Amino acid sequence: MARQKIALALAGVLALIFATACMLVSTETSFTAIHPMELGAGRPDCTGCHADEPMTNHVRSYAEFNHTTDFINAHGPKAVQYNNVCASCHPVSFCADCHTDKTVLKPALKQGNRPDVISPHGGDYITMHRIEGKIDPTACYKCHGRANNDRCRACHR
Amino acid sequence: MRKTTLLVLLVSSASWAQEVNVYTATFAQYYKQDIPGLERTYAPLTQFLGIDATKLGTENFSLHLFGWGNFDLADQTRLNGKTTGSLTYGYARYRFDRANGELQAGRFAINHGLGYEQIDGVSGRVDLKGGFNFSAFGGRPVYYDVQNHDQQRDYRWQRDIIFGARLGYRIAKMGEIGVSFLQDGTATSRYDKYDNPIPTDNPVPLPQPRNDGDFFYSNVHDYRRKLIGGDIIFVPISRLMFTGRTVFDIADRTFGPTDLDDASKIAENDYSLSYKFNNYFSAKANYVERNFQAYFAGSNMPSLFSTFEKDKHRSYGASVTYLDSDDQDGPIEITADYKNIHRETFGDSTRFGFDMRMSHSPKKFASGLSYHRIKTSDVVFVDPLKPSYSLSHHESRAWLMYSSDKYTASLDCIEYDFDNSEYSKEHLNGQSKLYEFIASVGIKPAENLRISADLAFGSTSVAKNEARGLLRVEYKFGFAPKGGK
Repeated sequence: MARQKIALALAGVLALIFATACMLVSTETSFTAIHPMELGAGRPDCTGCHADEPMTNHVRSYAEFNHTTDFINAHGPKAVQYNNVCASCHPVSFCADCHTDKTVLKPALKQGNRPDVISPHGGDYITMHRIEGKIDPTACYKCHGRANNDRCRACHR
Repeated sequence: MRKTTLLVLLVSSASWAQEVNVYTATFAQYYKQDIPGLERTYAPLTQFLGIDATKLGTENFSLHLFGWGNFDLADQTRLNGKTTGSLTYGYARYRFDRANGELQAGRFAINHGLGYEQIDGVSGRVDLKGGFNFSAFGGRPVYYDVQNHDQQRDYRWQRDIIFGARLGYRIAKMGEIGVSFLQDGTATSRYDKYDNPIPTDNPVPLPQPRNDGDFFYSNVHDYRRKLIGGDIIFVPISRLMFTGRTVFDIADRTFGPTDLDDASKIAENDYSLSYKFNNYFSAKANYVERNFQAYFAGSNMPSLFSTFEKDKHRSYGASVTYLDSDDQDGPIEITADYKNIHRETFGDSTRFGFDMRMSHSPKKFASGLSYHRIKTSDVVFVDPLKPSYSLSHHESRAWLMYSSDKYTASLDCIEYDFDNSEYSKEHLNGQSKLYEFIASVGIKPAENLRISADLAFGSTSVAKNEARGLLRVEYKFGFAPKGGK
């Protein structure tokens, strides 16, 4: 009898939590799955069309997603956290052009036919990473600190 | 077995999709290195496969898969042997029509305000009423095998689970602030300082590192991580944007060396301010501070990213960009940049220069030119004959690219010119300049198929001369252009 009461109380609490959670969820329409207009070649400038919409209900800021050189150099957290914005134009595998685990091919080599693309580690990076790592090892850590790939393991154990 | 099952399941379920995008790329390389006293030949073959299957039964359900395999036709260039491979991601995703709701399950990369992790698990996000949004994830971190399992046998043990969450609050037409939490690993070390197993039911604190100068490789490394952070984006007008984050390491690290007791718990401060003056000019300023012990917490390469180091990185920089998107031939972008980097155990370094890129002849030709000067503090030795050497150097790059509907061609040249002859003698085979030159030609025989070949020459710190040939075959099926229905 006591167990039944506890189970009932628990079910009631869970139902209350679920109902409250549902009431908390926004009723706004989700960000578009596909950008309604096809974009031309080159880097898109979102604020070119969305200049008067610094903040919408769906994305933080269109300005934040302008594909400037700064955006490309620091797009990581936005791309993972707000992948629905990226996915409106890019298929998911677009990311893997550069980002594959264990770095089987360094991006600059993989995209050797696309010098216009900003790829990390161009040139002789075996030499340069020793210098850049000496100047600032935290820059390496962002991508390689926890991805113990074969190339790192050859020397760093 | 689990990986194979997952792979078969994901690939077969893609047949249910109404829209399937397939990406495959094959890279065949052949290269020779002329190393003093040794000549080496390599011939790795690498295959990438990506599948995005959408509208699986419903409009909102999709599957995503990407992986690669590598086979060496000559030497064993990989530590794992002639054949290696990996599943980068493989997950199912459901997008809700409302509230930007989303659920993911499988293997994927994750960042909810903190860290950047590859996990096997689940994640979700949703917008809440009143401008709030919430996201969370949980699972097991994807392990990377280490060189010597005995040296890091606690790595797999301690990283038993990873979970995190972020709560954000959007202020209409102003920006967003967020707080986030991440915990990676709950188990303590399995071994005491004498390499004896610690019973799992015995709450023994983590052992002290052995003070024999070899503790980086001992069993006392702590791979656990516990972080909290705050982030902000402030965009009062579309021209002005302020972004940043502060991250704290809140894990109990009582086992560490006593001289690190007062090390900062702030793992990272990273703040940027950008302003667009008009349609052509914009500027950005950035400040970063990172404390090694807190920032490197949980690294599986403690020999490189040491959490036993009371070191600190601080940098500030600025850049000014001129961008003419309206030019008839195509966009022209010129960026001048400056950055000062301070590392407590090394000293100051500065990097400054410019980067220019432009298009010509209605976007068929593109070219770029860049130059940077890197001026560093001297590396100090305890050697009266060679007390120090400099890492300062010049970095120059020029490239040219042609791209039509049918053909592509490109040239890319990068050169490093070092100041110091002592460094060149010791670390660069006596060379004061290193370079790499890549020429590429390509053809597009069909809408979905691209074939290109690269030929590269260069000199490196390992090989005085290196020649490389690369054949690239890319096939993309079902990919739509950017946007559009």
